[in-house]
Amino acid sequence: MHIALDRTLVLLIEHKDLMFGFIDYMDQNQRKDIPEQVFTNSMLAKLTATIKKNDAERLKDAFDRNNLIKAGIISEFNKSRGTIAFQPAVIEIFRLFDKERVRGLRSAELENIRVQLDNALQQHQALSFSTDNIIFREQRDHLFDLLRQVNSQIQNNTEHLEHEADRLSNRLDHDQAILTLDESQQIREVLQQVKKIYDREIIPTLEFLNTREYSKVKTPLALIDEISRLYDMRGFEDDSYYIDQYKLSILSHYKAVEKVRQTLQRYLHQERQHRLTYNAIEKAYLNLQTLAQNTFTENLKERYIFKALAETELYFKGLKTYSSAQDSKIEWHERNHSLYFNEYLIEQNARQRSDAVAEVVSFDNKQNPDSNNVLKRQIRVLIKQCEIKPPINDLYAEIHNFLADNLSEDYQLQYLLYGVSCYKQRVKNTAKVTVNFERPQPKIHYKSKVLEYNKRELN
Amino acid sequence: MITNKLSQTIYSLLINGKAINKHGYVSKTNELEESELYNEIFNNFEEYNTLYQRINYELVHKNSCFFYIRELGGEDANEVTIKIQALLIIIGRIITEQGYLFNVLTDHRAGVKTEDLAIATAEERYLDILHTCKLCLKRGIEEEVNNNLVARGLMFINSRGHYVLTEAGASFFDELATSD
Repeated sequence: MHIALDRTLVLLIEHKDLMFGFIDYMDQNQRKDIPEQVFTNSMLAKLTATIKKNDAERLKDAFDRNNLIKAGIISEFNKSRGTIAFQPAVIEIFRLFDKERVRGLRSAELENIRVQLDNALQQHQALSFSTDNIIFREQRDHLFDLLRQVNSQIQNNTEHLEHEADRLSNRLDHDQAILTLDESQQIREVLQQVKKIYDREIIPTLEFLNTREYSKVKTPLALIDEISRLYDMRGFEDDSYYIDQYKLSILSHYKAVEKVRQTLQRYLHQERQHRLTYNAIEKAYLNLQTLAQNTFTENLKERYIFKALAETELYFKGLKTYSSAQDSKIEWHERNHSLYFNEYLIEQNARQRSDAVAEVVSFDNKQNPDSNNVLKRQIRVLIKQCEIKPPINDLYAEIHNFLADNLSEDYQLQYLLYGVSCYKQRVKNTAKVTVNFERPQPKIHYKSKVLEYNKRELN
Repeated sequence: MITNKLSQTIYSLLINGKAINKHGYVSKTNELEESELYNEIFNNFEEYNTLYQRINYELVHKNSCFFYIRELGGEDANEVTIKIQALLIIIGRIITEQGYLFNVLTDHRAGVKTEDLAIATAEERYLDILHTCKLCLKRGIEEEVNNNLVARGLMFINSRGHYVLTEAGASFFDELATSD
């Protein structure tokens, strides 16, 4: 069943996603046509997804390949290659619906425009300018069609470039933190896209719009200028004026494209840096590989590449060889060594004292009450509950006073050491003990006994 | 003026063939911090230089980002250097050949896993090179990287357990790219 072009087009526009799919396929694969299989599969998927039966029937008739050929939407169906090509005008209409799918002008297309303008100039130079001359009228109409078309193409191209620059820079700025290899791969692909757009679209467009560059080949805008002058000299000032207006309109895009170029400049610099690094690594790797391959000879003496590489400049030249024998590191365990040292000094002092000072009381361990006796338990409880807090100027004196007050008659001087030890245990994580070796040593007299000691300060 | 304590630590690192980088990695914060050892050498470079010259070493400051010492007139240290360069080139190649961004190796939050480097011992083309540099003959790539790069301050392992190039390691690639 044949459905008219307008109805088919309306249905295609209503179901834009279908054509967008085809356009994407062609762009991704850099083709102007699609395989028949892709067309058939997309159609089937579309029909299956259509819920209403009537709609599905309508679409089936409209999107039938033969109907599309009859309606002129499919311009070419190559049976032997199994490819389908759509009418370029139809594709261009659909591209206009979505900025992302608007194609930029590549070098070849810009050159084609330049050639067309050059031809137009040559034709006009050979013409006699007269409204009675039918060839002149045809050429003039053709010229204005061409200018209109170029103006519109350049405008679309500028919009496309601005959109692409926005899209790519958003992508790159958003993904600043590259944490995985996959992310890094995506960023690298985006950077390559930037480079591609820059080289293939932006630079050719800027060259196209450049009026200052002089070379053997005339720039498109210079060609338009010459055509305009021809019209002016031959008395067609109005036409000359309109041609100038087109030229200005086309030229006005220069600034916008230049801005896009500047936006992408820094990413391009980034991409260049990566490329340089990649090339350098590749070169160094290939050099290494060659040296390694050269060792695979019958000469078993040269199994390693050290000699060959040593001749080149090495970046870490002369870096010392690590050897455990050279390890100068001193192992300091997690201990407070100053305390150990202080204890050592105390011990030394005590030895000297034992020879010199007769009145110093030394406690015989055998006479000491055992660790679980009642008094010791009492001291432990008292120390646990006491309110003595650092800073303490003299720990022995403080604990002695505390125990003498609380234990009264039961207290003996030898229990002071136990009390101090319990207290040190209690505050070991929160306070720091400092031993003071002042002379003469402080003394505690209690019940006809004397304790001579090094003062402990608690902070 | 030279600080005794720092000077001892610096000596201990340099004499063992380690590079002292401008920034050190702090795994608790997953950030880079200025190295006080680097600053100590940088601020007293003349004194340190004289000090090391007197014990027959040259204090080398490279790429304005790391220090190491080399023996004056010494020739026997090339094997170590070659091993390091070969490892760095192969790691760089593994990353770039697969289309990854090189930054992944230098970003302290990113880095590469041991599994990503396993290709070095899995593929003959890399293994041949490594063997001719006396690498990976008995040890795996992880051990070689730890012994030759991490232990020497050319790479570090971040809080995710990934290998990342230090400034010394990265500057090798900078030099490669600029001299190319």
